[in-house]
Amino acid sequence: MIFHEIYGCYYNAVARLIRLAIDGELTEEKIYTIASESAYGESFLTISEAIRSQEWQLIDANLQTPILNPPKMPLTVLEKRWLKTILTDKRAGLFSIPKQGLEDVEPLFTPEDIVHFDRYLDGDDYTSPDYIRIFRTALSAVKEHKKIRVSFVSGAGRKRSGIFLPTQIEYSDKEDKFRILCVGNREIRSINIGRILSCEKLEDCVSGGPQILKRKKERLVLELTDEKSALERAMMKFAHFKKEVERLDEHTYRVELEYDKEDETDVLIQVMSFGRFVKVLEPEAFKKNLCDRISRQLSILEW
Amino acid sequence: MAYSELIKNFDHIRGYMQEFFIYGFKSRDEYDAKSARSYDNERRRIQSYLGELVSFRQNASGKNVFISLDGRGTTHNPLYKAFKAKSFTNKDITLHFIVMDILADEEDHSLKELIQIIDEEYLSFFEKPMCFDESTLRKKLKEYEQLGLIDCRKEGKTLYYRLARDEIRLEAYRDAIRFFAEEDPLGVVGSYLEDKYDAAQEYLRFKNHYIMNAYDTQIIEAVLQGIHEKRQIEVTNYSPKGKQERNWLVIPLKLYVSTQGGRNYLMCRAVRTDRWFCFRIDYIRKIKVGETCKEYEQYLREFQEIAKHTWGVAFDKNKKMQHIEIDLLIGKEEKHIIRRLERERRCGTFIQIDEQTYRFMADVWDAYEMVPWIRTFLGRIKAVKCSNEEVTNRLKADIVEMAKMYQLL
Repeated sequence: MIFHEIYGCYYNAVARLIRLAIDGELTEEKIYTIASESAYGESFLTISEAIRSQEWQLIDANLQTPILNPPKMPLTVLEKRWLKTILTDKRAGLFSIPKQGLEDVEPLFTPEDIVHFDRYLDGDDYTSPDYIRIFRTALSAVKEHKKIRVSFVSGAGRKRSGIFLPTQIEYSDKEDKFRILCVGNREIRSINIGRILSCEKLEDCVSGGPQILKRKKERLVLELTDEKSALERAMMKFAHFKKEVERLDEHTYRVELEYDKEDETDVLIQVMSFGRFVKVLEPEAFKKNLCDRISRQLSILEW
Repeated sequence: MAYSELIKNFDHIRGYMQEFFIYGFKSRDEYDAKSARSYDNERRRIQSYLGELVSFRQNASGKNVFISLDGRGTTHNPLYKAFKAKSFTNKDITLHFIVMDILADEEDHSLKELIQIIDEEYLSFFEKPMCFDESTLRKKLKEYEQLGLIDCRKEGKTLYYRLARDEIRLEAYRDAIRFFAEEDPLGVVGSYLEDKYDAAQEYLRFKNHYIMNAYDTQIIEAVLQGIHEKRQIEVTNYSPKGKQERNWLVIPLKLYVSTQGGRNYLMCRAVRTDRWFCFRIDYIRKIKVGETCKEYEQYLREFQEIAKHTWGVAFDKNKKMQHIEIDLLIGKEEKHIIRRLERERRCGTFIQIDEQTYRFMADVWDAYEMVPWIRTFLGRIKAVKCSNEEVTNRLKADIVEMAKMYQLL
């Protein structure tokens, strides 16, 4: 049962409240803080009232509790089965996970039960010992805010090397690849882990914690004609972008979405896949690029 | 009934989340809800769960509600919050914490003992103690046994309960849980596990992250159970064209996940007839998992043969396969386009036919499914030949219409 109250925000919030009540440290203010942090926008009202009126007989009006031990709950069957499920995934080997403890547990499913039918075929090799070593070195450098010395093959096939400060690791489901995001010269520098030849964690520790840089964003404005379910297809495809849709008339929609400037070619390709159903209004450079491709297309097609 | 943040089942809110997240241009009057009050309650709940991710826009047709966020910048799927809103009774929550506290001693306790301890050591603490009968407690213990929280053993006629043994060192799974909480189709379970930890530093990000499939979790769970246990399932499917629901008894064979289109599908075969189907997961309203299917392996083998020639999800093995050839202009320096063909070709192959021309070839059940992909090579398409002429005609007409749309013709 995946939808159950024992996994709920309210139970988590109450567990935290009981912990404080056991130590005699619970106050009205803390009820408000914990309810807001662990649950939802309006939860404080419900939780506070349930405690005050003793509808939940766990904490009394003086904020005392008869509970003796800090609340703890063993893992459920569902949670254990899910852990076993992730162990069957080829990417699980990247993480140092103990193999013991789940021998008698049945996974919820296995990777063979799922087909990612449009995923790129040149995904990373997660079984390679070198890949695993590089991934783990990079991950530990990110966590410890340490620099790495990396040599890798660039997209153009040239060997490069350098010292970088990794801040995050990014996974793309479509490409089935991991990249290390590093602090570059005022921009994010990303290095495909699959292209790295060697990676060494240096002892230089960067003070002040991780620096999360923002990518340069662009705003794309489209006019969409809803034929052959184009609206639904586009809204699903573009669902990972921050977007806004406005209906102009029965079949026409204005769509505004925000994309990373560095992904412009990929976004253009996605827009082209909709053909005549999607018209680019802005930005001008994006539109010009598309028009150039259409003009070139008109001239080369053997009609 | 008074408004509550919590919900008994997920079905109703699922539809609203879908609408707000995917479209977000409808006004209050356009929702096919039972009543305006129902709309108001669901909107208020979603706003309560997702906070500032819910936005509003006022226009002539009214106020539109939408959920807007950048998937790449979203490291924790916010939609999981809605799965943590299951309602419960006052007795449920009271019993939960008291029973877990009593059983924390890791000793066996009979039902009678538990009732006595609950009354004397816990409820007596309050001015007006709640009253639990044996039957209520027995049901709760049975439920917790099924969830795996409690072990139960029988000695003579008496049942004894103790806390389930848990030797998993969860901390060791932390990185893996973080990753799979976002990447696994049942990632919400990972999010439940993460609630047991204190918050940690953010070090993972996700690109092309279709977080919205989270609201289909219960359907996906049932589909995967059916596939994994080789069981038939009863699917209640909604058809947007016919605007009606219909039940189908099918054998689930694969969950097809689109990493580029955001849509997931159940690939299956009818139980009683030789018909094959694919259902959009987000159109499935309900699933009931049934008995095991003896012929499962045979049907799976048949499907795997069929699947060798599907581009997307369409297939009809009673029809003739369609052959398609696309000639693409690729310059000598444009190795990245050849790499695109290599990684995006799915069931097709390609050869170089002259210095600057590559031919992509495929035999597929439905070449029409390839049209959006072929369009992505706009500017390079030298020729398209297909045994389904509609495909060639559509592509050519598209190019002309696009040229007119931008006043290039």
